Amino acid sequence: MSDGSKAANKGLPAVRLIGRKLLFLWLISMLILLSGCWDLRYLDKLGVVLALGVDEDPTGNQKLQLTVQVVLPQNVAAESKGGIGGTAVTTFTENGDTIFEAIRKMTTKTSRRLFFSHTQMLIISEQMAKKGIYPLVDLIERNPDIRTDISVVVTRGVRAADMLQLTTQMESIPVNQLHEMIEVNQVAYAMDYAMLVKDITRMTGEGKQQIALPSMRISGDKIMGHSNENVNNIPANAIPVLSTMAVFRDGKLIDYLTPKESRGLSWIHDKVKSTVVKLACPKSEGELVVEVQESATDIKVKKGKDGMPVIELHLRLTGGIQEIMCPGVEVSKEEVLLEIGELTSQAVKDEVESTIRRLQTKMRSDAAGWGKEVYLHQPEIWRRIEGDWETVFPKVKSQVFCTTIIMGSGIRGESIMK
Amino acid sequence: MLRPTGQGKGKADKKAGKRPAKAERHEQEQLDPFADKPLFKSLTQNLEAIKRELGESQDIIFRELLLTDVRRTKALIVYVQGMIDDERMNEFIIQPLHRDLFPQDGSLEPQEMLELMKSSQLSTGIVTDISDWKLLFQKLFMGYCIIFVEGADQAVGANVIGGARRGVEEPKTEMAIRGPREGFTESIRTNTSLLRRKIRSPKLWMEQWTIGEISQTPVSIMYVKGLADENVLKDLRERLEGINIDGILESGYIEELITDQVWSPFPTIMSIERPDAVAGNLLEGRIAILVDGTPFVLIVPSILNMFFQASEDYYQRFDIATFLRMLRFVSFMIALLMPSVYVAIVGYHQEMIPTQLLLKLAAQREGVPFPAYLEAFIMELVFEILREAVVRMPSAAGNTISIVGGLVIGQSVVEAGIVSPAVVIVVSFTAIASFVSPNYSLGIAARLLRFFLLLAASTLGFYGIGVVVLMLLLHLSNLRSFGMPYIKPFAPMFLKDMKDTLVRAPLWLMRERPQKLASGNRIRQSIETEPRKEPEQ
Repeated sequence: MSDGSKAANKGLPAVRLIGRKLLFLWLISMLILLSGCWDLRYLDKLGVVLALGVDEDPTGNQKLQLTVQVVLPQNVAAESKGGIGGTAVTTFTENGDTIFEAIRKMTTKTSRRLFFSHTQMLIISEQMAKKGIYPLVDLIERNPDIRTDISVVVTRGVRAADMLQLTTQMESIPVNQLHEMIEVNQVAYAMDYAMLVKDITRMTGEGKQQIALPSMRISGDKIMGHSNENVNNIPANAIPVLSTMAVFRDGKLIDYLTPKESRGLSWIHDKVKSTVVKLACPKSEGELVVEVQESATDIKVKKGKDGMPVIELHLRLTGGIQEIMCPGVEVSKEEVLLEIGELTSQAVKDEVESTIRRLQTKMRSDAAGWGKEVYLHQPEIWRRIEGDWETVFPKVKSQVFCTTIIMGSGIRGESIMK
Repeated sequence: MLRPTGQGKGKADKKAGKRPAKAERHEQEQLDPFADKPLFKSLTQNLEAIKRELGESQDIIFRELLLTDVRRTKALIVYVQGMIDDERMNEFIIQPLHRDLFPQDGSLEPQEMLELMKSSQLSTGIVTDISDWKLLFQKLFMGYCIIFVEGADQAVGANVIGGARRGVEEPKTEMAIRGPREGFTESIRTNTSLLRRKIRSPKLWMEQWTIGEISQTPVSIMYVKGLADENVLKDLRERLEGINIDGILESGYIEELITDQVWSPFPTIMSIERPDAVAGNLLEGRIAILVDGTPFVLIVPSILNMFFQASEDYYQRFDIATFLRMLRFVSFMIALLMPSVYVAIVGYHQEMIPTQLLLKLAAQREGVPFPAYLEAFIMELVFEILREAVVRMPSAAGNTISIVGGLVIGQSVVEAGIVSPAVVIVVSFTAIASFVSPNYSLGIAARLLRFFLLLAASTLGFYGIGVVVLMLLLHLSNLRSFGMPYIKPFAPMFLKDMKDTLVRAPLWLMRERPQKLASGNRIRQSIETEPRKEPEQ
């Protein structure tokens, strides 16, 4: 065709236009290439860190020893297929003066870049907690790659590394077991409640609140617990066990609460969703159990006659009788239910008061968060006493009110015990 | 040469100076020497002329016969074998011509004999006078038989169109569970009649052109007078008349030649195979373009929303129809975005997925030799190849493809560890989602754009996807179909039209026709159609 050659001769501007368009296209496509694959991370080149453990450096040369629990995805998959793979996770340990330094130094031991976006737990050993935990959470708050909803726990009597190196039976990934343990306990028994890094940060704000963290220990032989053999036994040789809440003052571990006091703290912080309260039967030998199904705690701050704050705790519970191990409890009568409600309220009140006593007298730590309540409700009092809250707190008066409504007695009436 | 506005700016304009000259030359070659010349008086001359012009093609049948007048005048019937109905030909043309009808005194001129034939002998519906060659050939190839009489410089064409054509069958592309089972066929007459049977109104008007210098294809437009926008009609007529091409073999030719925007993956003219769907569109004030030789009827103006509407939506209850509408929108999004979102998450945004899912994905990626984006790209390509193969291959090979495609590619590739199962899941789900669209042509847009998005996701992650989606939105809001904004009623917003978009409101609520579409007569039903409540006792 003669068309083409003629068009080329006549249509120089057109050719130039096409050329310009092509140049533009070329530039745009270069843009795609030049921008490269910024931040591209291959999934199979990542070591997903699920938990951080902080111990003291045993050699004493540096300030801390960091242990990370890293998932081995190939083994997780092997387990789901029913094959016998290795352990689902492994740990790496490195010394350092700061956490970040230790993390980066860890590349001398890992073939993959450590990836912290899915980290779920920060485990701090008892010794390290006694030295203070505030320095340890700064990295987590500061670094955009690490979430701040990481659950923090203290190991009681064992090193954090041991806790992370323990194999577990119910969850193939041990961190899941530790993590879920706290959640499940909080929902069903409420001895402990989860504390996140962001909660700790918030507490350091106005109100001079002190921290309380859940604690964990290892029951059994912790050396045996490191091997996969551990989970092939029934029961396992070593298992992680949730212990009571650990109370801090100025970021340093002071002591642990007793189980009863620990749940008292949960009541104070309105962390109880459901729990069981054991009561002595009113008229006969034996016990009955009330399951608390709903619970709400309101804290009111009143001004006392001496100008000091008076804390009022109002607990409203709804529950049901779940177990009666004594004869003669006529649950079909309303006055019996009312009486049991009274008893429940009394029992809960005792728990809460024992916690308050412990915090005020022995520990002298405002882990109840009353400073914050005063700051929120009675700011003028707070302004006056803020300076010496540490000495004022043990003397703050408090009152606990508790009302319980018993809604039922399960799907059975009288106990079969006569 | 007239070109529709705004299309084909590239090459067409540059050659604009040359095109007309070429077209004229082309016309001359084609129709010379017969263009408008009259027929010959001599039968032999006419016969010779036809034979010479058609290169003595064997399927042209010349049937000579002697008429019954006293002079035994010679007559000639010409037709194309296979295009006429032989029985009708015998019964209504040849037999009557043998009958003793003409006056035996020999007083009739040949011309008068033709007239008599027309009025009293030929018993078919359509009979036409033919005086020039152009018309003669047009009619001949439409399936008329042409009757010459010795001594007359005119001929008569009689409609005995027949021969094998596909009957009215269920449409192959737009299935429906509830609704009419009939689909358009390749015959334009059948198709117009199918529409007439849906809309029995004198207001259903039709205009016809013959387009294609060589193919001489009949092209009709149909619309409801008073509902269709006169401006759109005028525009459409201009665009159709501006077409100058050798042949129109399918409505796709027309679509591409009159479309507003060629450089877009989104179809701005819709093609439909269902008469009920076309009728519905006509009632909303749109215009149908029917092309002979294809069951696909074009609708203008077409907007994006229409591609999510299935005719079945209006036959089912509005609640399920609304649910299905939303499902289609979601499926379109999935078909468009899922592979790229997967690639972006796995490559850039690992923190966004739940930990357990991340671990599963990571476990699957373990030992896979290719990066995720390459993997997704390969699998998408494999799927497209499979799909194309299935469409084109002889149906006897169907099982082979499904075994090879499903088993070998799906299973073995994963078992061999070359591709991770997650990618196979993503690609196959995308594939299924892309078939949800009731109209095929929108699925094509999603198919093409998917690769583009994949590229953006693999280089820039979610940021890249965001940029491309924004570009697409800009592009969509720039598109027009015969002056109609493509993403109407979303942008510009027409609240009243929203009743037939993501939701399909009950029919009695959709009292008005789409805005900016129906001219003048906007109300489609009276208020009385609203269901009456039970009278209160």
